[in-house]
Amino acid sequence: MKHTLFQYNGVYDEFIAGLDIPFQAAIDNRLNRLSLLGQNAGIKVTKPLRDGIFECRIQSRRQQARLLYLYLKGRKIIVANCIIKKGSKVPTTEIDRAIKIKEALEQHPELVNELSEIH
Amino acid sequence: MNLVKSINLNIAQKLEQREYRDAFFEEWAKDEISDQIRHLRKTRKLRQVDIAKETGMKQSAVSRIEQSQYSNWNFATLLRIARALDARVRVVFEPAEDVIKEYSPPQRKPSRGSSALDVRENILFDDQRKTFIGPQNSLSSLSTKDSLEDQKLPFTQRIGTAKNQGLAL
Repeated sequence: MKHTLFQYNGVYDEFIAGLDIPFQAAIDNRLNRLSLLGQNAGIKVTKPLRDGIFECRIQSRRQQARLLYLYLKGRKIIVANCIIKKGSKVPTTEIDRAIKIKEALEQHPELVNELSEIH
Repeated sequence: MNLVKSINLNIAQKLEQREYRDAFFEEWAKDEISDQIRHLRKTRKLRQVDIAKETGMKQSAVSRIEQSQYSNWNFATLLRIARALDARVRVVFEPAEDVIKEYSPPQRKPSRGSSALDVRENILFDDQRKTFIGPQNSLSSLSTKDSLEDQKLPFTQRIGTAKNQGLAL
């Protein structure tokens, strides 16, 4: 059963708009895979970071992106942060930002619109 | 203001664009190949070193092939890995228009109370589908109004089926 994809504060739309088309396609492919397979998407696709935050890894040619996401009850995946990876590790500040979003959403689950479906 | 909103990947529509389509298909195929090899190896309870021994490759080479961003293998290598995994390699070339249909959201069938115009529209689309003969037709002319019966298996089931059947690329 597939997961429903959500984004916090339009981060995904904003992020993908600034990328070239092949990179957009690579990210969409990974995100689609993630929505279908969840944690079974494989270690090369998804990796746990800390405190319930996961990263979805995308590499296309010489570019690397990381989508930081979390799971909510009801097979919901919330993309909390998107970054172009430059160093060897995802910066701590970016993970911390995703953790704060996770805490806020756990306190206010009503923020997630259950009627919206991924296409 | 709603802070959390759904992500609409809208892949079917984006696939109409050639540049996007080429990149998406390439990434999809790379993910599928590495995922199927890794999945079958684990199902067989084999280690990368076992595959390496069987194929005469280094373990690091097997690891590299199981990484989705890698695509410098050749067909002979895939055949060697398939033999080590006791599997068949099946290559399927899927026309882009079929893939676009696969990613299109399912369309509802007209209900009994549909207007005559709706019924006529469906007949027209049915006729177009019958006369469609292949890639030389432009993608934008394809019908997206297929009934539920005409839809192929959902993507998730296809992945499952492919895995069950071995290396369907």
